[in-house]
Amino acid sequence: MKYFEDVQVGDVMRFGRYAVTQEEIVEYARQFDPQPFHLDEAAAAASIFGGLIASGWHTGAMFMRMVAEHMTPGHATSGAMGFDDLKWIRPVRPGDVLSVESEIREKTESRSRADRGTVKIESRISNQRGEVVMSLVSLVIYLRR
Amino acid sequence: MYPIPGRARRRARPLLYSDPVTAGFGASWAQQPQIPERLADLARAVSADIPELRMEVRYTARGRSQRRPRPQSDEDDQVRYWEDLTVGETAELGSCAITETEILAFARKYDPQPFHTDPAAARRSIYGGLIASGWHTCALMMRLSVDAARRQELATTGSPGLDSCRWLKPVRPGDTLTGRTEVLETWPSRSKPIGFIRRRNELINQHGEVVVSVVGITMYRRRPAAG
Repeated sequence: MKYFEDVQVGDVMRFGRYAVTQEEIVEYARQFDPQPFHLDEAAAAASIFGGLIASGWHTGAMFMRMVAEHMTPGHATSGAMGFDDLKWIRPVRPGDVLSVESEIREKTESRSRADRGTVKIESRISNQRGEVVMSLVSLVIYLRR
Repeated sequence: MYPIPGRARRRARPLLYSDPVTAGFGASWAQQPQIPERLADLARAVSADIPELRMEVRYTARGRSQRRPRPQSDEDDQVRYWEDLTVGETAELGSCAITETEILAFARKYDPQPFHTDPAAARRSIYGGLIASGWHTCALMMRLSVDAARRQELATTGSPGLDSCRWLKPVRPGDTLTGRTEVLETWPSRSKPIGFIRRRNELINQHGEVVVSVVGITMYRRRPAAG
């Protein structure tokens, strides 16, 4: 288990494999982001995107799934305070396969709580062609040893 | 005061994605029992119902834009363009409730950490009980924003991204979340017929606490020239 003390600035982690399906894009969009280019193939084909694309917040959720599946189980994390500088760089489409590359950027000990610290982690989410589709800097809470 | 020139230039990079904090359409598409299958039906539905798709800016695969002049219609008078938004203006985004069932369903699919998926484990965590995934909270904010933007006929054309998102308080089963939005900054694109709005969106719980605060950039169409 990696605690706050164990992660070092510059550490890089590569993980995850998330196959994006049309059914899931539509299901997410119906619930949270009901815009035509996320919901319906024909509407999306007629839109500026030329085809169905995932909600950007859905891409964020898929990123979180990969983090929760592959990264947090081996790290003493306890949620996150949020994130900075999120960029939606390219559309995510049905059939895409996403993966994550994360790098430790900064560590800050909590001033008020001795049992934890915040770690800034920059993540890039890429598709199967190696194109970055989204990036962000997460502020992750790590417990101390 | 605004815009901050250097900052505006840096932010106004090629824009590829349309998925803003405040986007253009509402829930009616999702609620329709049948989405039109034929393109002709679709085009009619779009032009009648969704001003957003009469876009003047086309983003190509490489993100460069070209003018796509469209005839004006009377409906455009109802649309709120970039020019119609002013720094300091606020709006309500409506409310929604969140249940334990929803928290568990979202977390099992997208954020399977014990304090989101297991009430007993959550009680032992630093949160002292089950809390919603922050990505779930943001998804609810997006839904409120989409519905509100449609009600207000905002001429949004997407978002390149967000400056910051802070999950300030845990969201727990039974909470009612109310959204509000404020325009922080506004500046025009120098190369495209669009403008940029930086806004803060917040969700507030039934105790009056801000649970999430997001600052992000949304693109808007410019008001078409008269005549």
